Amino acid sequence: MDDLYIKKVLNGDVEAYSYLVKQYQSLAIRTAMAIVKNEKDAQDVVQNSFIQAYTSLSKYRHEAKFSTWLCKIVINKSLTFIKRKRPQILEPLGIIENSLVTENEAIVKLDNEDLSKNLKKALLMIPAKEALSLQLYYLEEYSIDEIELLTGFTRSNIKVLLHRGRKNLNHILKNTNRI
Amino acid sequence: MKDSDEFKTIFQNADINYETGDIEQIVLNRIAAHRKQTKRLQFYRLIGKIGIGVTVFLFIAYTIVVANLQSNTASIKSGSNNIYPLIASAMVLITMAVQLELMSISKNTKS
Repeated sequence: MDDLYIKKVLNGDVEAYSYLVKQYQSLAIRTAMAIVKNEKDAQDVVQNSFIQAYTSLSKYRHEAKFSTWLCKIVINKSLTFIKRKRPQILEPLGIIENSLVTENEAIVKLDNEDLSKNLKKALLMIPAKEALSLQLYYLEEYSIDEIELLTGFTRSNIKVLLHRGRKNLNHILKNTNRI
Repeated sequence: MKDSDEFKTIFQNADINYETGDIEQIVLNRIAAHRKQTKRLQFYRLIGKIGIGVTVFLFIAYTIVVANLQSNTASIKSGSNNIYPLIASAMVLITMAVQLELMSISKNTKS
């Protein structure tokens, strides 16, 4: 189905691109949010990613799914964005573990929230690379090989990020449930 | 620590979606603006190419006319032929024009 719309777009039908935007905007926003941690910034990154995907569509070689190709653009744009704007998001978990005490106040407020909200909050609290790896692996169900291709992280790095991410997420969720 | 499968269940049961805003409309508007700008750039490039073509043509025509005149005058005066240096200078200028055009193309391709 995607290929049909991609052909239409390449033949000059701009409206056909709205199908692709509609279809993949949620995936794109989720991926961007894992990295930039701010809804407005994520929306900007996603807009720029869709524009870049449109201008580079003739270079898309159908080797991977369109969603994977778009996801790679979103990840690159998001990483560039935070490197320029807020490099501290990329810092490793030591900071998060130390900041858990201060985050307790926020978690108290989440006491009655459902799992989705807690998980969303927890994903915003852990470092970008961990959140991204967890989301791609568990939510979007990409394999480690695919994540390696998408992010450019090494296989062992991804495994470490998943382990740390699980540990951090578990810690945050446990704290949320306990309070 | 929760194991991997448990995390899979947690993620699959959770609804992780965020406000997308009016991304679709904004993207389409920006694409329309981008296409408009691209068309305008293409038009300017065409005008530029025509301009370079006309300049080169006029320069060659001018050189030939002037060279012929000079050659005729010189050959009448001393019997020598001055057309070659003039043609060479025209060729140098044409090469420079082509070079400039190539530079502009490569710059546009990179961006």
